[in-house]
Amino acid sequence: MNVSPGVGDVLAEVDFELAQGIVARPELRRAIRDIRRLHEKNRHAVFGPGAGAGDEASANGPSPAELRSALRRQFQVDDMILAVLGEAVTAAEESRKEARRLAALVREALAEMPDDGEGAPPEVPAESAPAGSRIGRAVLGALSRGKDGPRGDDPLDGVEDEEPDAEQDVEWAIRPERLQVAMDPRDPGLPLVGSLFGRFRNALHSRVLIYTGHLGEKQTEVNQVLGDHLLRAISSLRRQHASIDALRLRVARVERRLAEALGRGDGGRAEKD
Amino acid sequence: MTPSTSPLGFSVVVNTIDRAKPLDTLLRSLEQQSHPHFEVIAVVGPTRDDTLPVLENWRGRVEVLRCPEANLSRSRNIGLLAARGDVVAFVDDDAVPSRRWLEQLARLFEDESVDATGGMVYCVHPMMPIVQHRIGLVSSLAAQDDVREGWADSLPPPGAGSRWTPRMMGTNMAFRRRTLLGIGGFDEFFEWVYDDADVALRLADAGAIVEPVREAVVYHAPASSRNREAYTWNFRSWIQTKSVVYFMLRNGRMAGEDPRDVAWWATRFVHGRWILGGLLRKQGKLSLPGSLRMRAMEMFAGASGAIRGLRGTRRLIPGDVAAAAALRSASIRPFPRESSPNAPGVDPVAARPLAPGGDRPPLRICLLSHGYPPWEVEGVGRHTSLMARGLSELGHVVHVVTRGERESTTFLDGAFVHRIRTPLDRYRRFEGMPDLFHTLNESHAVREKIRRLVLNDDVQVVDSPLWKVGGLVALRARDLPVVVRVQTANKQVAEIQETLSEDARLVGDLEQSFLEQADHLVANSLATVSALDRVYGIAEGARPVTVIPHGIVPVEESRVRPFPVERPPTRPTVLFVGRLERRKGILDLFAAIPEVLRAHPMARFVIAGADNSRNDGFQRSHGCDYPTHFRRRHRGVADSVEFLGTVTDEQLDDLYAECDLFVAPSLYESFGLIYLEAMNFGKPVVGCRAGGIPEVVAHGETGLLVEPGARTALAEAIVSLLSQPKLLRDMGLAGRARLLERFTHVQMAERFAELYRAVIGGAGAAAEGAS
Repeated sequence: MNVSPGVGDVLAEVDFELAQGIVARPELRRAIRDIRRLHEKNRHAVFGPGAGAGDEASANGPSPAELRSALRRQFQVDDMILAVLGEAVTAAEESRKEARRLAALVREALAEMPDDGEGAPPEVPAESAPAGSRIGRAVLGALSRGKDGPRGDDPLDGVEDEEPDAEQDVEWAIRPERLQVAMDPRDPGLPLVGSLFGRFRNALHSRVLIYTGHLGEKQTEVNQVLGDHLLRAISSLRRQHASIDALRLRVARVERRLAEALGRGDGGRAEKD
Repeated sequence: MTPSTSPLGFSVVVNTIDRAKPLDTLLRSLEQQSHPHFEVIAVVGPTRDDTLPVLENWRGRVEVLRCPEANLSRSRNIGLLAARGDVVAFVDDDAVPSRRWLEQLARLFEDESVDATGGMVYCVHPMMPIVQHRIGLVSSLAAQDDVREGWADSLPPPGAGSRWTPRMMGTNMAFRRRTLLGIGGFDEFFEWVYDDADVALRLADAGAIVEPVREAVVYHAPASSRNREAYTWNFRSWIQTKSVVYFMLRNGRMAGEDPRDVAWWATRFVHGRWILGGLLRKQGKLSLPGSLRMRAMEMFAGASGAIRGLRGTRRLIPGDVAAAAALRSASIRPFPRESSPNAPGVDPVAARPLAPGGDRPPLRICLLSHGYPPWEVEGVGRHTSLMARGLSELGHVVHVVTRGERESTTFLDGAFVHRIRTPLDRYRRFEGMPDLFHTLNESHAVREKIRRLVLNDDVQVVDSPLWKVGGLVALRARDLPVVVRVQTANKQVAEIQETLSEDARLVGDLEQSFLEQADHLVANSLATVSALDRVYGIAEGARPVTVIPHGIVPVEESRVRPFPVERPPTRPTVLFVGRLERRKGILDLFAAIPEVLRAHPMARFVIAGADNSRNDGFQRSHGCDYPTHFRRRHRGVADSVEFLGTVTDEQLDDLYAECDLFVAPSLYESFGLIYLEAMNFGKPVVGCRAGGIPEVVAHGETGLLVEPGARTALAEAIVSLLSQPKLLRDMGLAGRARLLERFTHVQMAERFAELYRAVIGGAGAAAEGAS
C-alpha cells in the first residue's frame, strides 16, 4: 500500500541519516576497487604475457629495472591500502563518537522520563524502521526478545549481510596464490637449436622465478597484515553501524514515550505523528 | 564549551618579514585560543616596515628572534631551536587560526605515534575564495594534491611520481619538536616554497607519522611580500623553480624514482616556466624586459637547483646542535592572554580588530542563509548580511553558512562566509518530491558544516531563518541551541500561490515542526507573530517569541536630503520602489496617479522595480504587463510616469536621495524595509495600515498611512503632503530621526546579541541541570 509520508516519517528519516551519515562511506569501497585494479595492472605488467618484451633482457624474463619498477608500483599499492585503512579508522572513530553522543541523548531522555515501570522494550513494528535498514530491524528484533531472551554477542547474528563486497574484495586480493607465478613454457620456434635454447631459457626463467617468488612471499605477508587490519576496520564499522541503528531506535522509542507521558501528564503537545 | 585540558605545551612559531599589520592581527587572534598552554616565538627577517615597533607592543608576551636573511627555512629553524614546547606549530603571519586550532592539534598529538600534522587552510580573501589545503599529498617528483575529501580520495593521486606522502601546508603545520629536530629541521636551500613538502617527505623517510587532518582550521588572507605581489602574476617564480628542481632531484632519487623520470619531469617544469614567461608577455601581464628577465632567471634557477640537488649536502641543523636542543627540557613561557576574554574578533583581510574591546566576551554566532550577497540578494540574505555586519561591529565573531557552487570561505563585511555545496546523496526516499528532497539535503549539508564550526571555531549558537528550514537537521542533532528567525513562511507563500502539492504541504509541516522545536523564535514585527499564529497556530506565549525589527545601515549625514522648503523643485518627484504586482498595491497607485496630477500637474512619478505581471496572473487576465496597462488606461498622464524596471543598489540610493515623497501602498508587508530605506534619506512616506508597516511608519509623524486598497484616500494623502512643503521636510527629518533611534543595523544586532546570550545561558543552565 502506497501511503503518503507524514512529517513524522520525514523527521524519522532525518534522525536515521544523522545516525548513519558518518559511517556510510561509499568512497572506501571505491578506493578498494581502485587498489585492486592497480594491483592487477601491476601484476600483469610484471608477470603477464609479453612482460619484458622489447627489453634487452626479455630472454631472461623481467630485468632488474623492471623488477625495481614493479617494486615501486607495489609500494604505491601499499601506500594506497594504508590510506584506505587510515580512512576506515577515522570513520570508525567518528562513528564511535556519534554513538556516544546518541547514547548520551538516550540517557538524558531516560532521565527526564517519568518511571512507568516498563522495563521491557516496547514492541515496535518492523515497518517503522527506516527503509532499507535490515540491520536495524534485526537489532530491533533482538531488543524485542527482551532481557532474558536469546541474544548473541554480535547484534548482527542472523542478519544476512547486504554488502559483503568490501571483505570479499580484500580477501580475494590478498590470497597468497594471487602472487604465485607459473612458468610460461613456449616453443622458441627455432630449428635444430630450438630445444637447447628452450631449456636454457627455462633455466634462466626459473632463476628469476625463485627471486620473484621470494618477493611475492614478502609482499603476501605485508598484504595479509594490511588486509587483516582492513577487515577488522570494516567489521568494526559494521558493528558501529548496527549499534547506532539500535540507539537511534531507542531514541525514537524514548521520544515517543516521553511525548506520550507529557501528553498524559501536563497537557503538553505530543509529537505530531 | 569547557576549556582544553590537554597538558601538551605548544610553541607557536611565526616567521615574519614586512607584514606588521597582519602580524599584529595574528597575535590578537592567538589571544582567543581555547588551549591555554602555549608560547609564541616571532622570528623576524630583515624587515623594512613597522614589524619591530609592533612587536614592541607585545614585549614580554612574545619572544622575538632575528633571522639575518630572507630565508623561510632558516627562519623556521631558528624558531625550532628556540622552542620549548612538546609540539612546534607554525602559522603564517598573514593567517588567523580558528579558536580551537591548538586544542585540535593537542588532541591529535595526544596519540604518541603522531609526529606531524597540518590542518585545513581556507584562503578567505574575497579575491581568491578557495580551499587551499585539506589532507594534502606530495609526490617525490613534487606533484601535489592539496585539496582532498579524505584519505581515500583519488587513489592513486594524479601527477608524476610513484611515492606519495601526506603533507601539510606551511601556513598551518605542527611537529613533535624532538622528531623535527631529529631530522635536522628544514633544509635551508628552500628559501621560500617547498620547505613544508620536503620536510614531510624526509619525516616519512625517517619512519615518522605525518597525519594531516580536516580540522585545526586556519584562515589565510595572503598578503604581499618581497617574493610576490598578492593576487597578481608579479612574483619571483624562479625561487620556486630552483626549489622544485632541487626537490625532485633530492627526493626523487631518495624514493627510488627512475633517474630518467626525474630528469624528464625537472626539465619539463623548467620548460613550462619558459613558456609561461612568453605567455605572460603575450597577455600583457609582463613587459618585454620583464619577460626576458623572468626566462633568464628561470634557466639560471633550474641549473642552480639541479647542481645543488645532485652535488653537495642538505643545509640542515647540524646534528650536535639539534641533539642539544632536543635534550633541552625547559618549560614554555606561556603567552599571557591579557585582553582576553573580552577582546573582540579580528578581521583577517583588513588586518584589524573588529571593534574596540567590550565589557563582555564576544559571542561566536553561526547565521544561516539560503542566499547571501554579493551573488544572491534576496530579502533573507540581505537581512542576514545586515545582522552579520551589525554583530561584527559590536566585536562578535560571526560565521555565515550559505550555499555555493563549490566549497569556500571568505571574510566579507565582518563575517566569515562559508559557502557549501549540497550533495544530493541523502533522503532518496523523497526524490519524487523535489522541494522536500532539496530542502532536507541542504539542511543536512548545513548541519555537517555547523559540526565543523563547533569543532574548530567553537560557535555557541545557530540562527536560522524559517525559510528553507536550514537549521532543521542541526536542531534535530541538538548540536547547539537554535534560534529561528521568522520572516515569510513557505506555507504562507504556498497559500498565496495556491500551491497545494504534497511536496509543499510536507515542507510546510516541516516548518511547523521546526518552529515547535526551536529554542527561541524571532519575528521582525508583531504582524509576523500574528501571521505565525494564523498559519501555524503558534501564538506568542506558547513559544518564546521575541520581536526584533529590521535595521539598516544609516547613510552619512551628507547624503540625507530633506525637502528644500526654501527652493522647492518645480517638478516634485514621487518615488515607488517594489516589484510591480498586486500585493505591492501597484494598481492602487495607478488609480491614484491621475487624481494627484489633477492637483499637482507638475509632479512626476518614478516607478522602480521588476514587472511581476507574468507570475501574479496579471498578464493572463489583462494580456499585458503593468507599465503597458498604465499607458493604455491613462494615456493623458503617461508622460509624467517613468518606469525604470530593475535598478542596482547604487541607483536605488540615488533615487531615494533625489525623490521628494516615497509611496508604497503595499497590501501586506511583514515588516516594510523599503519605508526605512526612504526614511534613511530624510524622505516622508505614504503607506498602508497593513502587516508590519504601522510599526515602522508613525502616522502623522514620519508619513501618512491609509487603509489597504483605498485609492481615493491614497491620492488625497499624496496631494496633501505635496501641498505642504514644510510638512514634507519635517516628516522626512522625523523619519530619519526615528530610524536612528530604533532601526539601525547595530541596534538590531544589539537586540539579537542579548537574545543569543540569554539562549546560550539558558542552554548552559539546562545542561548543568541535567548533569
